[in-house]
Amino acid sequence: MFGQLAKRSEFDKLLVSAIDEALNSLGESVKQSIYFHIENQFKVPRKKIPENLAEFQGGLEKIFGAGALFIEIQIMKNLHRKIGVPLKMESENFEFAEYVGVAKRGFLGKAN
Amino acid sequence: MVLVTVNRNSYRRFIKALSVLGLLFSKSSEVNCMSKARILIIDDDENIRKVLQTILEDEGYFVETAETAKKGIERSEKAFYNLALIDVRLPDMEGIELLSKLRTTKPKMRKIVVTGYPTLQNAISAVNKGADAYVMKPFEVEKILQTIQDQLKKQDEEKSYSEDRVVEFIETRIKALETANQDTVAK
Repeated sequence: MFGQLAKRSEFDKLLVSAIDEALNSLGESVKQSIYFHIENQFKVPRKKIPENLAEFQGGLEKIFGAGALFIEIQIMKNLHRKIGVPLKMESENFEFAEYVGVAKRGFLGKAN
Repeated sequence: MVLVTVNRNSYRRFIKALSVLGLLFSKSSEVNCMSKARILIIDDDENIRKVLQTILEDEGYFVETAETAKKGIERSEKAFYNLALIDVRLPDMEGIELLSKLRTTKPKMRKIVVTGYPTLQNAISAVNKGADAYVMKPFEVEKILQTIQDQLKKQDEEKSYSEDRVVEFIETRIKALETANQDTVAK
């Protein structure tokens, strides 16, 4: 039980790190601006993103529109690299929060 | 959705502080970017490819090569390169024509034309087709390294400018969202 909790916490840290890397590719000031507005407008602080994925996704999409997809795909690529599970685009209708859920299950399954 | 009022003055101060930090970051990242920039050499002469690759890798750059225009295009489609060194005479396509194609598909990649046949016409055509710089064979190593550094610096400056535009875009979007929220509440 404790091991599973530790793994969940590890996954969340990897997810935040994957988001950091994806936003970093846009530049430091852009990354800080996105975190600032996601926290102030959508009430999701950086460290709470794993628990509020849908809100985070909604915030990105409200800010960037269709462009959010590119950021989401980059986050997923980073995440899959970090957790060591290959990324499979199973659907053309990419849903960020769903993919993170699949990745999380893959990571926790791999850990067991 | 709950309307959130952001204190614009504190936000401006926050972004200003970030800009100051950004300057610190950019200095270190510029060095980092300079030393780890990715360079593509497109030249049909194997000796030139090997010599240039060795020189540039010794300088800390990541280097890949292509012996034809077609392979150069393929490589640039598969991976990101900060800069390309393009021979003006290639077996399957004139370097100037390749420049023209890369200008459209890879506008951010800096392009340096390399030629052993320097003519004014060549230089004018290269610049018109989107070359950022022009170097001549035989190479003066110091000159080519300086040209590459100058181009990477310009690329870095363009990147900073683009980042500022993205931050402005985000601010504009947030303002629009706030206004839309206010309109909804007012109704």
